[in-house]
Amino acid sequence: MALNYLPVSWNGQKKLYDWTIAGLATVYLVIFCGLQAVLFPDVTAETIIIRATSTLAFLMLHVILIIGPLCRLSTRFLPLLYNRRHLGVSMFLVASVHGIFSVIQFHSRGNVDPLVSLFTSEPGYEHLSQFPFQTLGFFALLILFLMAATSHDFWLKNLSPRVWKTLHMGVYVVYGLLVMHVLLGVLQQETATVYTVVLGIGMALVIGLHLAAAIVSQRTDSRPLGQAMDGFVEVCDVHEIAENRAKTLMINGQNIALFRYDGKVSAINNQCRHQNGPLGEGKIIDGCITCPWHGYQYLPHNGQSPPPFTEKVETYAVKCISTRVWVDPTPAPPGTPQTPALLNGQ
Amino acid sequence: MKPEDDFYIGWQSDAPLSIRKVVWRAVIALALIVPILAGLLVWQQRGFSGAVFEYGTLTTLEGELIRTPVPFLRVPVKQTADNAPLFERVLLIGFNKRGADSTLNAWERKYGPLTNKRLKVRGTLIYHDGKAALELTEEADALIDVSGIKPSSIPPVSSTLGQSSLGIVRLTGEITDPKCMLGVMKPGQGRPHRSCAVRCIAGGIPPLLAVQNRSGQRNYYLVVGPMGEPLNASILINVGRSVELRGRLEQADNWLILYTDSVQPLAQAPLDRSMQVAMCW
Ligand code: HEM
Ligand code: FES
Repeated sequence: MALNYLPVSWNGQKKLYDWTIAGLATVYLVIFCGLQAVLFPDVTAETIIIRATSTLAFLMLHVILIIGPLCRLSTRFLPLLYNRRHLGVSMFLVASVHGIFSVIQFHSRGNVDPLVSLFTSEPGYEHLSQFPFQTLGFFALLILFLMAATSHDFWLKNLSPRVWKTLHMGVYVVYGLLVMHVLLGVLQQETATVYTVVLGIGMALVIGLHLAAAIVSQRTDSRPLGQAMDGFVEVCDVHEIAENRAKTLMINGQNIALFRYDGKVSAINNQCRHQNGPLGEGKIIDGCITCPWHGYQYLPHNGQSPPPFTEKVETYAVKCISTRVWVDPTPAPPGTPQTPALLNGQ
Repeated sequence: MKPEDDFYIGWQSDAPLSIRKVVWRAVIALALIVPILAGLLVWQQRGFSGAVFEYGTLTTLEGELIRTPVPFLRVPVKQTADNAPLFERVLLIGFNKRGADSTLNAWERKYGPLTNKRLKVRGTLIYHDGKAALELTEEADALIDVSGIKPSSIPPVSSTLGQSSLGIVRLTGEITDPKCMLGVMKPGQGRPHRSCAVRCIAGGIPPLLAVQNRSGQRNYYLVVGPMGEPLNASILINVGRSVELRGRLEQADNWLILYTDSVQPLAQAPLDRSMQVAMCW
């Protein structure tokens, strides 16, 4: 968590994760470059580097983008998410090799500055067929740089989670820019159907899984069952919540996680202060609500991280009437203690 | 509801079996996709021309310097049956993305006018489809020796040296830069390469029209204005696009030079057309 982001950083799982990234990336590059040299001996080394790194980075971006929705669809994919930022930074490094090589190859050593050349050599901004596709790659790389540079929790804390999260949602802008970068660029020359099909499958996976995840979490978010009474609305039966687990609710725009533990029920805001992880998909471990994404913890009755940590989320008043659970969807300021509802008669 | 053990946080040292299984399956899937994709993406490429850039190897050529309409070194290659010498022209190109003119001007500042003088020049050869160019890699130092023309071995100096007119023609093809087209880059033409060709031509390398016939054979035409003046600045907008050029065609030894008076971009690209259709919907 925020105070000890260095000490918890390394464990066997993380190392395994990084070795897997490095291993698969190496396999890709070796096969791509080796086969390129064997099947097309006329190619130049620069083109091999440009194409090998660009396609690898684009593949990594697809993996990064589908991990999120996969985890929403099944929590068993969560270990893939835990260290995703290493995948992101590696992808940026690979993509920057492509970008820098392309700028050198196509724009340097001419009669104007390379970056001026990048934006002015193809002035056909108004025609799709002549659109300077390399500028799209440039902006994608710029956003990736900002994301990679701020990926450490230090920046998360300094920029505030909201700003940080917004910046990191930029990955979707990057994806859009890159799809156009490829469509308007190399696919105008390399016209084999396979390329269009592969790109189509990639896009279908990314878009399809995001839609599926959105639909599924809409379905699992419970809505109030009846009318409000003294501000409280009836939300579910207590037996619908597993011990040490939560049910997520969407009431009046409030995203609420309702946890059951030790014969009690408490409600806190569903969004983790770290990166908006879904706390309601987490679990109570050692008496703390533990975020499924990176393991930030909060006490269920007051939404505060246990000392020495300082994160706080909004809390909500809860009551139980027989086995029915009622929640007041008015958020109390982050960290406000609430009396947990006791499961009467149990 | 989720079983008790089905929860794992990255900072825990071991994941439950059910989770490990899923993660391993994902990793195995990736391990299969990675080599297949790498292979497929390489295999389906269009391929690259057999053009050659002798990077790192310097070659010395001796011949007569011709500066207009584009700079050539005119090199005697053999004697024909009736003892007339046969020449081949090697297009001179500057170092990096530049034409040869700045280097030739530097030489002339040092040695006086060099047109039609016999020069010994060292550079890097670039060649493809029977056309060759020499990159003056060492710039000012690329000129090794200058001598006058020996009248016995070379025909008298005239502005139309080895040149003959082939009449007015209309040609359709892509404007490329000869440096990359003849071998410095692969691919050296087409959409992704366009911005580089623009840089080269803006830098003074004479534009080259690449014309492909139905059976894939190519012919190349150096493009200049109607009076032989450079068109580099005005043609930039059409580099890397399909164009139709009209003009007077001349043969200069083994090269064709088009003195063009009209450059017309060809009809709209399919991508723009489909975009317009989509917008009208
Ligand atoms: C300054 C930034 C960039 C520049 C100047 C640039 C330039 C280029 C160029 C010239 C090509 C065509 C190369 C060819 O002939 O094959 C290309 C293709 C491509 N680029 Fe970029 N690019 C940039 C950033 C990026 C980034 C950040 C990515 C992210 C993954 C990316 C992904 C691709 C892909 C997948 C292709 C198609 C495969 C290929 O042709 O290499 N590019 N780019
Ligand atoms: S711990 Fe990272 S989002 Fe909750």
